[in-house]
Amino acid sequence: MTDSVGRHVISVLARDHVGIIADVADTLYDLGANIEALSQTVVGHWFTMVVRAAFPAEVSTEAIKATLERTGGIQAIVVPYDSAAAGAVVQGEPYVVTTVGADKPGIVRRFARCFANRGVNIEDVWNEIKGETFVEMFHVTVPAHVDPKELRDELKEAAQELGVEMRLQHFDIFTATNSLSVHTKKDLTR
Amino acid sequence: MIPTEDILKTIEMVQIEKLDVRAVTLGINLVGCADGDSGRMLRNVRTRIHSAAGRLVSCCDDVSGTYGIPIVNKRLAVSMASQLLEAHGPAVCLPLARVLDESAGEVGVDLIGGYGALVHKGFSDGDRRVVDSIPDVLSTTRRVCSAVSVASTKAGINMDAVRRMGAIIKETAERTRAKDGFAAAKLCVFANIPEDNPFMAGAFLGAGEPGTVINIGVSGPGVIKSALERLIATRKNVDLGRIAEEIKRTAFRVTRVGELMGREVAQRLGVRFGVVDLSLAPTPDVGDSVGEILETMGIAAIGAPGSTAAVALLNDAVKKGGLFASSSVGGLSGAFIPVSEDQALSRAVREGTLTLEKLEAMTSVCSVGLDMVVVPGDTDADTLAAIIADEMAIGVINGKTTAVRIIPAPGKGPGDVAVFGGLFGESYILPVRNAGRSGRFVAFGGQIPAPVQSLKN
Repeated sequence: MTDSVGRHVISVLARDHVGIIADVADTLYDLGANIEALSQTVVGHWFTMVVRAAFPAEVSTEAIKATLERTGGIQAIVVPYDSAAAGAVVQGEPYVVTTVGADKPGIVRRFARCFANRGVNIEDVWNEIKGETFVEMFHVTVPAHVDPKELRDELKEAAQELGVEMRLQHFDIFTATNSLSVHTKKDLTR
Repeated sequence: MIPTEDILKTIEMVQIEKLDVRAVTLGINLVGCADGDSGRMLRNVRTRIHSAAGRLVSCCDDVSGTYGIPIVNKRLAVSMASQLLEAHGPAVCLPLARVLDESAGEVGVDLIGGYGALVHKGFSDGDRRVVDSIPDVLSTTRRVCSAVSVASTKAGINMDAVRRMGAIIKETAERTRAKDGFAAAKLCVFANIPEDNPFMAGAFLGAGEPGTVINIGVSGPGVIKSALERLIATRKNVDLGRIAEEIKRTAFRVTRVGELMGREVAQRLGVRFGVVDLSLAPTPDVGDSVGEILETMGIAAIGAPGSTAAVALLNDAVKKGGLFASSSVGGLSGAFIPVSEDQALSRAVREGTLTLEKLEAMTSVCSVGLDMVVVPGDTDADTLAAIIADEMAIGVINGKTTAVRIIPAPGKGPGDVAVFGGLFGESYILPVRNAGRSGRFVAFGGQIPAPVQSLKN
């Protein structure tokens, strides 16, 4: 694609059913778009997807939204993509934080605040319910200036207050124990 | 992306099954410390240990903090002390051992191996001084451990050395009579001694090793036991092939963790990474026992028929999983069955199901040998030597490492308990049948020739 394109970020929300990605992709293709990045997930039977796509310059934000929503059953948010305004990527070590315990309000809030206060970036977060147990998993990047031991102590304190079990584990341990690859994330980013 | 289920399983291994790194052992070559002046030699040794190992413990703690996995034991393995004593009289032995002991304490490690000698073909002056001083050294120092090599597949069995070690063990135990002969628990007699073993009491740095090197001992038997219990509880139609497969997979996981963390410690210390030793080393804690793995595999009384086959399966599966996980496998790499350090084995001795003879049979299919076996204090030195000779023969003929760490507990007999405490555990006394009937054989002395298996060229 050349410079005569406009990039947009599109967020799609719909009650989950078969064919949403096909409908959205058809619509974008018909508008002349090229999908550059895409991620989707389903939470509580609701489908959500974020797409960055490059469109011919004459296609407006409003037109993209209207065309997408005409396919029926989806809500879309469309904003122009500004690469200069993209947030800086946090450099550091990859960790996984898991909390396991009875479900209650405030778990995500409490841990997310600990991360934010120390400049730890949440890369991904999801949860699972196993019987009576609520499992929350955060993939985070811990910057070099944060001591993992101190972070672990702070998170443990939060876990104690909430009555849940918490583990802070370097991602390489999961690669080492579960993957045939001999490369850890650290090897690949050094 | 790693599936959620695998992430949770790994966390369970760490949290509930106590996945850890059992030993990080720093090997240090001390040969460069040699000096005709004994005072200077001793100062050199202290300086060398401080400069090589000063950061070992803090570095292990940092790596442990980074990965969230405990490193349980931090140890030192030095080149054989006999080399430093070639040019000195017997009066320098104890001062050298004290310097090793103090230096180890100063850098924060609990044990230091290498006060030993390689005498499988004969004694040098230094070797003789070291061996003669072992009772003194082990009874008056806290952290020093001894390994003595008396046999190898290439050399055969030095029966003069075997006989001497029978007497040395007896004397070493006697010197610590009030502690049930504890000093003998820091002494291993070997056939086919490995040069890169990270586990005590047999660790030392071999002549073919780098000047400094990090060797790793992987996590203990608890993780394997939990994996088998889960397998048996959750799957139908589990047979021994499936059990071997589960052991293999679990050994893969623990080996990968050991190597990952060992390499990180080595890199941070600026030292070569050596090997991962796959050995399952039990501790007296409940749930951290090789004996319990055998019980999980259906051996209701350890020592019952089937025990040897079960150990063989376990030992082989551990190796297969570990070998696939790492290209740097070394040391002993098998399953240890140290009686006093493994509460299920110790219980089997108390209940009379595990005998010395059955234990010996089990050692023929696993590492490392008759380990932490406590026998009556009145067992004579030649009988101890004959027990060593039998175990050495298993190692020499089968081309594997075997060792004997036997404690004749002074004043104790069958039915009594010897208590060593800490990682060394406690054990009922194992009766020795036919004691006193091997003296003539042992007294012949000389060298049992290298077996035909040694001629491979």
